[in-house]
Amino acid sequence: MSDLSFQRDRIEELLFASANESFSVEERDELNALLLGSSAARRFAVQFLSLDAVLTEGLIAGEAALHYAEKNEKRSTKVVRFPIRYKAWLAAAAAVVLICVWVQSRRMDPKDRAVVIEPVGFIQSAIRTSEFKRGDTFRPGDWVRFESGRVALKFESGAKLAVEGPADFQILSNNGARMTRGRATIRVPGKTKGFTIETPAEQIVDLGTSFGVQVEQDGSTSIAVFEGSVELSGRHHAPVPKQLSAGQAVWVEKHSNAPSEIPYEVRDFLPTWQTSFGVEAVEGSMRVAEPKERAMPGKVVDCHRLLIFPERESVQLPLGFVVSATEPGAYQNPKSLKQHVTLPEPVMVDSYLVQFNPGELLTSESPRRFSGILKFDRPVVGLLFRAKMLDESDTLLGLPSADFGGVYRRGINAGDEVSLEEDRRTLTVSFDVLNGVDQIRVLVKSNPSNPNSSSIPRIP
Amino acid sequence: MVEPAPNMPSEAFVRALTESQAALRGYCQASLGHSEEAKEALQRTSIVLWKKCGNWNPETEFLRWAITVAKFEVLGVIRDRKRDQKRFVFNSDVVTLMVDEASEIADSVSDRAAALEECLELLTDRNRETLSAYYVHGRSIQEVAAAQGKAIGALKVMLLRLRRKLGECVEGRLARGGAV
Repeated sequence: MSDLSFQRDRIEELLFASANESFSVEERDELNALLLGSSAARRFAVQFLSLDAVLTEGLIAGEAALHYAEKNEKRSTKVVRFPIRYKAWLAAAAAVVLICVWVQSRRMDPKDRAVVIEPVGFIQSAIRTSEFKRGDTFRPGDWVRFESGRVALKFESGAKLAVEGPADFQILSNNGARMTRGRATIRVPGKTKGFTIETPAEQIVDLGTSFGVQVEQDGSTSIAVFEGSVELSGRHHAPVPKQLSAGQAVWVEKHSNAPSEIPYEVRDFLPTWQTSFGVEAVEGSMRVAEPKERAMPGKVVDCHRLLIFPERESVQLPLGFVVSATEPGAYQNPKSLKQHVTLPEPVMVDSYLVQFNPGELLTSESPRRFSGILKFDRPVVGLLFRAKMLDESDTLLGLPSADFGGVYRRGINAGDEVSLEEDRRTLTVSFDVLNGVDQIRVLVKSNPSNPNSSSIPRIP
Repeated sequence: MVEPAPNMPSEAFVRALTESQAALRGYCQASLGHSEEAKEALQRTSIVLWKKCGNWNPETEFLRWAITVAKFEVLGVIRDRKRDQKRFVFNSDVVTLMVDEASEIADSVSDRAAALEECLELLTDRNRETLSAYYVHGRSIQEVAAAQGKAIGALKVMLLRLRRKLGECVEGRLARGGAV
């Protein structure tokens, strides 16, 4: 075999290996040395890489044509076969059309974008970040990159991913993502399971749960399970995946063989935990209940702040469901607190319990009035102020495991004030504490899971 | 006929950009190797071309102009990430040489793409799916091998063989003038 032939085979081998994660520093140095030393080697490499690019384009074109054909088949039962040249043009045209979207959104990956694929989710919240806005849809292959702020995505599967910047992650499917940097809370409500998040160090599969993931710059990953359990199924666990349960946390280095147990700490994840529930902002004497508190509102005591307990999500309210209020305005006198309003139309809601429960901790020196402002990423459609309404809606809207036993004086009384602003998303709560537990229930319109739904709020 | 608004691409521009996608991807990948940086350079190039659409004179060749922009963006990616050289497949000295080498074959990429499309038609569905999993969907060798119940080494050999066969098929068709 001639030197040139040998060199070509080796360059081919190295170029092929360079597309894989296992490409080592030594191989990289060898490849660079070969290319620096020979113009023939460079010419060969250019042809090799160019063929790879053309091959990618050609395969994308085939998939795009198939996609269109399938769509057409569904619509008209007529299978459309595209002429060969048209396939390439079709895919390239799709890529070019998407460039326009890229220019506007500054988030893109032409390789994956070139295949015209339906959206698999959308941005539910975009907080203090200019790169995205609520209602933006995303498709498999899209990269989501931002330097600061928080973004919450809802997948078609129902899974929610709230991420804090700086972050880089890629949408893989309607139930999975790859994350290379950032801190996130993932919640998979209801019966959905199997949401998978890949990081450079680990693969985490949801088993019906909520959990936090933090990926460092070097790919190292920490995972904390808030509720339920997850399966770690990265390559070092094969053939038996490792299971982690609520209250457990691990740290996985990029090239390590096993995750190390670390102390369970949720503080860093609380901002994304809050965002994952669609709570955009909380101000004043108010906070969102932590994961371990969420399921037991009656038992959580905090004499300094009002607590927001996210309850059930995507609950279809029965026709004729009665609440205390639906319209913007200030509700404070006994009469307004006792009124009944029937919801005008069937609606799907996420429920939140707002509570002040000082337990035995309130002293005569303690402040008597606690106020807070709460802003949701969707409109409030109903408020429940009265104890009877709360009792009657517990089964439908409270978490199955929530225990309201021992909670007395639920609801609110004269002296308490609740205001819903004109934007229908901002709620001001001011409780004048006497004794017992003050509670109200807030019903916020659920977002659909279908990213193509016209009912997704696209508020700028 | 409705004239495009100022700074809006003309139909001729969109058509030219569409027809140049494969060549631009090939140029960025040939200059930077298999890397996120190549994708980023292509993204940047597309955006700059779109934004500067008014600078292109339809009487002149689009691809030459686009490659000039792409070269600038490839070097820009290198410049912007100089501190993180370890991430690159090619070091900056190699990239500097590759950008010129790559521009020399840019003109022939469209013909290659057309020839390749015909060659892809000859593949079995199974082989095409394997290539798609690797080249389009970004699955690793390990993942594709696991999904197909193959050894990693065997899959590597298979992919390399498929590539070579496709390369030979493309060259053959170009030699016969078949795909143009």
